[in-house]
Amino acid sequence: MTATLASPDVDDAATESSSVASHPLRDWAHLLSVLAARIYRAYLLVLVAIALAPVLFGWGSYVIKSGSMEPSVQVGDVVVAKPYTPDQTIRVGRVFVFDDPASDAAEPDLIVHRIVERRDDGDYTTAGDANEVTDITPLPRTDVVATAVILAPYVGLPVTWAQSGQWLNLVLWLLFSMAAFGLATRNLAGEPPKWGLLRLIRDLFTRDGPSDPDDTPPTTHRDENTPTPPPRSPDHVLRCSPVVVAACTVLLGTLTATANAGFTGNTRNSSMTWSPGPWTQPYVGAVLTDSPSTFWLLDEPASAITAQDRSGSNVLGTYKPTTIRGEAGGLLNNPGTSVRTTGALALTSANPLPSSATHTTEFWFRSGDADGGYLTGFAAGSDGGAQSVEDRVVWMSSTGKITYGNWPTNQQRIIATPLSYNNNVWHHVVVVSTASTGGRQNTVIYVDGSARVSGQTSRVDTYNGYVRVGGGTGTGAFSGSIDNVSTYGTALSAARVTAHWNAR
Amino acid sequence: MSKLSLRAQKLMVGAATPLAVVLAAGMVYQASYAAFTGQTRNSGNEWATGSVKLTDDDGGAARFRVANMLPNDTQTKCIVVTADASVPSTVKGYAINPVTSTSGLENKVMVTIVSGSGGSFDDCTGFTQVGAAHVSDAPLSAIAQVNSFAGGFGGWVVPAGVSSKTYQISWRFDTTGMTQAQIDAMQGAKTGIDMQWEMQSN
Repeated sequence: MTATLASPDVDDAATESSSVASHPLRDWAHLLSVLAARIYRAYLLVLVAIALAPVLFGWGSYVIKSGSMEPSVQVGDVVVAKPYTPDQTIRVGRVFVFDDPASDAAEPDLIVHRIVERRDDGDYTTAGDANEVTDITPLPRTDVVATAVILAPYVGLPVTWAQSGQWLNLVLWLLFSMAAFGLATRNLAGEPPKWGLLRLIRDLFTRDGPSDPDDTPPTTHRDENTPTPPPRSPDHVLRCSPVVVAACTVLLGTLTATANAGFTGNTRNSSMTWSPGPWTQPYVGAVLTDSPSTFWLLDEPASAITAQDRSGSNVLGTYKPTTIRGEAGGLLNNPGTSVRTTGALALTSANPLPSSATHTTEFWFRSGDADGGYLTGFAAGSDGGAQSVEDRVVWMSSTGKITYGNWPTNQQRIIATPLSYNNNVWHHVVVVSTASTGGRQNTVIYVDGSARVSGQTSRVDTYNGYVRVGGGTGTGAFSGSIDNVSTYGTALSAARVTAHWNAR
Repeated sequence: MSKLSLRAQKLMVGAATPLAVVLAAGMVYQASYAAFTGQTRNSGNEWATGSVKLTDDDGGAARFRVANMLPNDTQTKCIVVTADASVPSTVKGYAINPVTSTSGLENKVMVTIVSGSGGSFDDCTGFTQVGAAHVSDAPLSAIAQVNSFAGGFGGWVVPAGVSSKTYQISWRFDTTGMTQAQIDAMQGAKTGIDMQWEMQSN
C-alpha cells in the first residue's frame, strides 16, 4: 500500500501494460487516467471537428490571435463564420469577421469585432468588447467577410503558439496529447480496444450479471483462442498517437485562417488651426504706403482682359488684345507676372480719372529696343487714335534715355536722363512732377532708386482722362515689357522712391 | 478503497466518451451563444478595462492655434504620447478632419514632425530627437492625405507596459512664389487639422 501510494501517477499506469490489477488503488488510478485520456481525446476531436467541419461547406474558420473580444472570445478560440453576401442583413450587436478598413494592404487583414453602431452614411462602427474605445475607421459593407456563428474554444491555441513562436507550449501540448491519445487506447476491464459504448451495450445484451475481469470478451471468434486480448504495446501507441495528433494540428493549421481581435486605443490633438494675417509683398507694401491713385500689378493670366487695381481705388485697367499677358515678372522678391507690348497701346484705365498738376508716375520696364517709344502717359481718350489732349508722357528716346515733357504743347520743355536704359534688364522709373512757374512743371526722373535728372518740363492740363501704357497718339509705341504701373496724385520724396527700389 | 464492480467500471468506460462529446458540444454552444448573439456593447461594463490605452498631455488644448500668420513665421512645440499596453502594440500618427481653405492655404503651411524623448506639451525644453523625421517640411495638404493607421507615420513599437514618446511638431508659413493676388485671396482663410495617434495590438 505504501509503495503504490508513493507513485500512483499516470506514468505508472501508462507504462505498465494492462496487467490484471490486483490492488484497488492501482485499479482506480488506471481506470481514471484512461478515462480522463479518453474524455480529453473525445473532447479534442469534437472541438476540432466543430472547428473544421464547416469549412467543408464553404464556411470559414478563424483562429483568434489577440484578445480584444475577451471575455467572450479568447485568444486561441476558433470562430466559425458564415460567409457574408450582400443580401444578408447586418445586425448591430453581432460579431463579424471583416477586412480591416484601416488597412490599405492588398492582402486581407481580418478582424473579428462586434458591430456596435450603424452610421448615418451607411457604414458601421465596430469595437472589441474589451476595448475602451470603438474602432476609428468606419466599416463599409464591402469589407464584411463573414458573420460569426460558432465559437470553438481553445482548439486554435496550437496554431497561435506556432504563429507566435511559443514552441515550448506547442511541444508540451503535443507530448501531452500523444501521451493522452496513447493512454486512451489502453484496455479497461478486459475489453478489446474498441469503442466503450458499443462494447457496453453489446455486453449488456449478451451477458447477464457482472463478469469477471479476467473474462475474455466472447463476441469475437479470435478471442476464443486467445486467453486475453493482445494489449497495445507501447511501441504501437507511440506509432499511432503522434499520427492522430499531428493530423489534427496540420488540419487546424491549414484549414483555418487567423483573424485579429486587436486592441486599439487612440488619442488626438484637435482643432489645430492656422490663418494668415494681412500682409503684402514688400514692393506692394512700399507702394501702398504712399497711397497711389492707381496700382496695376499686371499679374493677370494670359486670358485676362482686365487689370486689377491694388490701390484700393478700384481703377480697373483694360488690356488691349495685342498685349501679351502673363510674362515673367520684373521683381525678384515679389513674384508676379508682367506684360509685353507689341509696338502698340497695351493698356489703359477702363474709365476716365481726374488729374492734378502734382503727380507721380512709377513703373518697371525692360527693353532692348533701339527705337524707344511711349512708355506711359495720360490722354482724353482710351483708343489708339488721335487724342484731343495728351500729356504726362514718359518717353524712351531712340538712344534709350528716359525723357519727360515730350508732348505737343506750347514751349515744350523736355528733360532726359544722361544714361541709356535699353539694355534689356528691368529698370525702375519714377517720375515726380510738381507745378512750377509759367504753368510748367518741375520734374525729377528717378531710375533704379536714384534721381538721374531734374528740371522744368512742359505744362500739363487738368482734365478727366485715361492712364495709358505702351502707346499714344501718332508717336512710336514702346516695344518691351512693363510691370507694376502706379500713379499718384502726390509727389513722392527721394527717400520713398529709394524705399520702393529697395523693396524690389 | 473498494474494489470496482465490473458493471460500474463498464458504465464509466462507456459513458466517458459520449459525456465528453456532449460536454464539448455544450461548451461550444454556450460560448457561441455568449459571444455571438446580438448584444449592445456597453463600454462601461466591468471587463472593458481598456487593455491598451493611449493618452497625451495636451489637456484638451489644441497644439497650434495660429492667427495673423505672416510670411516665414515658424513655431515648434511638443506633445507627449503615453501608451499603456497589456500586449505589445504599435502606435502610429496620422491626420484627420482637415479644414481646407478655398485659397490653398493648406499648401503653404509646411509641417515637420520628429519624435524623441524629453519635453512636454507646455515646454519643449529638453527634447532630444531620436531617429529620422517622420514628416519633413510637408504641406498640411499632403499630411492630410495620410488619414489612417495603415499609412500613419512613426510605427512606434510599444512593449507591454507603460511607455512614452515626445512628438515635436514644427510649422512654417511658406509664401515662396505667391503673387499679391494669391496673398490677397488668402485673407480671412483658415486651415486646420487634427493629429491622431492610434495604437493597435500587434
